[in-house]
Amino acid sequence: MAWPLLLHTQQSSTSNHQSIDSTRQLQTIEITASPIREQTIGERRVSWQPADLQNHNTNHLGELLATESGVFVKSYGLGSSATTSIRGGSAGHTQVIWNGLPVENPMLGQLDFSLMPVGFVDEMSVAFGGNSAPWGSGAIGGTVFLNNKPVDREGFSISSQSEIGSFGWWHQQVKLQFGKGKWQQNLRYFHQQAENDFSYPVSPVLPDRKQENAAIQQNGLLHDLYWNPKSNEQFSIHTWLQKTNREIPPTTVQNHSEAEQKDGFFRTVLNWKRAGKKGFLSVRAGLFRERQEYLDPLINLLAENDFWKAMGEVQQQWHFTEKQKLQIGFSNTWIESDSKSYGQPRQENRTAVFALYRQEFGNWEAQLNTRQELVDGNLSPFIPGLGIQGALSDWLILEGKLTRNFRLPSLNDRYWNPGGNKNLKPEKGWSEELGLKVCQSNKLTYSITAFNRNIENWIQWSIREGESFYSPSNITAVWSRGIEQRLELKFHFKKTAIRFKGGYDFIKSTYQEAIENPSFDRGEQLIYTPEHQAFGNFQLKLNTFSMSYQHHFTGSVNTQNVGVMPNYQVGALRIENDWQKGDWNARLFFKIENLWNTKYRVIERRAMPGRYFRMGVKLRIEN
Amino acid sequence: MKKTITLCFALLTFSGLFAQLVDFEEFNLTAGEFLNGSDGNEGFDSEGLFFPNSYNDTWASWSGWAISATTDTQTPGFTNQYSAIAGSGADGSTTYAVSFVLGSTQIKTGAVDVYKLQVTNATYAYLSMLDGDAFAKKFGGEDGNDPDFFLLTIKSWKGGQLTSDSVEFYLADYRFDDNNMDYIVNDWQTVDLSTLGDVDSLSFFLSSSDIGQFGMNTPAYFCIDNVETVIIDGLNEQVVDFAVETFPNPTTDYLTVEWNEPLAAQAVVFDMNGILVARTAIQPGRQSFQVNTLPLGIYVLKIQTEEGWMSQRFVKR
Repeated sequence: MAWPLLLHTQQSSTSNHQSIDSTRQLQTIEITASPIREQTIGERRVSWQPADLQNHNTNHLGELLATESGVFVKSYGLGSSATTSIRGGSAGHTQVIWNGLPVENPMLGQLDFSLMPVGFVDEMSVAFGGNSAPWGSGAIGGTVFLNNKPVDREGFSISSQSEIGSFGWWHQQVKLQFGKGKWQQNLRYFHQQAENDFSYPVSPVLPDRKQENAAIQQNGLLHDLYWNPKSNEQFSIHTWLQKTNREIPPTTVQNHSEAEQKDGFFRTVLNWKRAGKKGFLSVRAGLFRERQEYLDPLINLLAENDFWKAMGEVQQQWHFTEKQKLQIGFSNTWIESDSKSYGQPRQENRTAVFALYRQEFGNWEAQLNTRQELVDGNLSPFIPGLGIQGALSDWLILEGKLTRNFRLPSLNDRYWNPGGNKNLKPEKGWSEELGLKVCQSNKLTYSITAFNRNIENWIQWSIREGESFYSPSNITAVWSRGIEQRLELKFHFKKTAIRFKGGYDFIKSTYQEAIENPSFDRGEQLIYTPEHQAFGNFQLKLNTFSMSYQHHFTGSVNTQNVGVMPNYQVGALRIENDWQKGDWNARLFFKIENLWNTKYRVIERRAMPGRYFRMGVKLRIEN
Repeated sequence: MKKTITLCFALLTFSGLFAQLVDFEEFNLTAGEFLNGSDGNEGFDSEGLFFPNSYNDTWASWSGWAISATTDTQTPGFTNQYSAIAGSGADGSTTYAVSFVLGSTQIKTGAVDVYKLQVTNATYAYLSMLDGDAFAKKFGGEDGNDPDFFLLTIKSWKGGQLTSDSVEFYLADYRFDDNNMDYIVNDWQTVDLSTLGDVDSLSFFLSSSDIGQFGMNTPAYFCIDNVETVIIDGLNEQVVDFAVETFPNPTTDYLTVEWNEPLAAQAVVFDMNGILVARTAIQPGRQSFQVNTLPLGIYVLKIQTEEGWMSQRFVKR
């Protein structure tokens, strides 16, 4: 399989808006010299292009993943936090990479996907399975890649999208794009707010209860600047500021709540890439500052947590031949966090070296990945990984991967008062997967993947004998295994396009060592990890009109308190129409969420809305 | 051979028994103050009783007993963990004891015999059950019909063994068919422990219908005050394995004692105020005592031998 070596002209995007004036297509460059780190082989990967993301650009990433990926998203309700479970892993087992750098909260060791707006992402993909060798701690269940891309045409464009909907929903976003010569930049801003005062049933004989104290206000600004001083060189800087104020609604078994949470962050990433005849060099630096305040006046609680994270990374890729590529990288991450519960500011320093080697053998490729980290002077487990993929025939591809994975204890795990345990070991274990992919002339794609993963030193907070508080320890092991199937069908006839994407996952993720408190038996499925999940997305595009229907099924899950929570199915319908006149483009859209008015819960005691509506307009002007 | 003995009633004060009230006022706390064991003494002594406390210096956390004079009945959550929902100690007093139950909480009684105490909910637990919080449910659940409960179980230790004898007290009970009868205790209520007999110590357990894999969600707190005791003084070592049976209990006319030890023994009966009301000798075998003239109430029958003594409660009705 041939891999592009040097720079290439960026291809026209599949965005609905980007075929307007091909004569003014900017011959911008983007260094995509196929870094073997970003595109490891042997794993199942799902990608979203800008056009795919358009329909969700007023949602957060958790909502997108819940409907289109088979990732289980643990959503606490409209406007509330959302974390992921991929392949039966915990929330801390999903690594999220934004423009090349991990954005998880090091205090929690995970990311709240409700704070990640889809509108701020140009390209997205999810690599399922372990990826700790290339991406470090936490890349166990899956890795989510979020990228921003430069404008692909000369000139200036502005787009504005307004959306209103049920429960006081209002979303407004503006995007400015500018491209000229060696410079491109994108500037995006969004504001959204909602009361989220939906009603939900509590009993057949009682009136519905109205959700209270669930309002959210969110503002975000993202600026991307690209400078290409030479044809083989690019600087880019991405700066993201965001502030979220949200009320924390009462549970369904709580009379009222006055709690609120404020999340604010500043993230900036600087990238420099230069390609040569025999490879490329990439230097990356990032500085993240995040702050969270949780205020509950009812219980006189104010919790303030903040951290700085500074990252630097250098990676060099050599292409010895067309078939032999080697990448060696070095990274350093310094974290300082402060919380009243830590007693004092806490620091952590992670240094990593990683090396990846890819070799082609005819129709087959193999890639060996290795990583060694040093955390505060202590060696983390050595992480090797091997991926293979090859074409068994013109239409059948075999993929496989064997990798070791690890997750470092979070800062809360180490320093939280009470309970923090400085002697925690990293979670570690091996994962294996094997998949077959059938591709038939771009009209049919089917894949089936089986995976197996064992994690030992699983970190679990529990009350130990003689103690009056929870503390984390490496007290159990978890075995995850399953089968994932995906099917994609495409059909085009004149101006009609039909596409179907669907999937079904069966995942067992069980404790391998019993725990007394919390009480988990050996062989018991982890809480909030459904064994069965399925989804189907149907899209019909007829000239300028398009319609899509999304349906997903989530099997029953074990919960913390109520035992087993039943399965549910939720559907959503979206219709839209585009109008084009000269440089103007307008789109009207209408969405019905939870079309079948399903009464369901994702998390016990957390209300979810019934059927609700959203509609909006998007305008785009180019010159 | 059955032998009937008519007791000679005499309102004598038995020199080895006297009643005592443990009300915690000797800690001299003023309103808003509390003692949570941070002094490192591992508990609190009061009138012959010992209330153990486990305090963790590293984390500034505690379990067991705290002595409190806080009065906040409005603030939910653990920041108000030392308050009683009654807003004061029993009978409007200043000071009371709060227990954070981790597994169980004990009171070491020694030679002191606890036969009655007053109990109420901690504000933290009460408001959690009434309104719910981020971790625990409001009792009754979403539709008010969940049969929830919050139960205090008091068990006795005798001869170094935890016995199966217990007294149960519902700090909250939502199990009634008629929801109007559901209640959460918000005042001081008396719990009669006389049926436990003479004990080395008492253990307090909390259980709730709101339980998950991480254990009980309802905050594991309750409060006590006005612990009424009888101090047994001058008696030799307690023996708990004498072969004796007393019946019927409750009784109205006669109390039969089947004494199956080859020992002569002395039986004394005193009321809950520690007043000796009867005394007689008992012999090996079955004998009945006439009790129909005793006022209705709870009595303690103590049987003393040269090798030790034991006691049992009986109820006259």
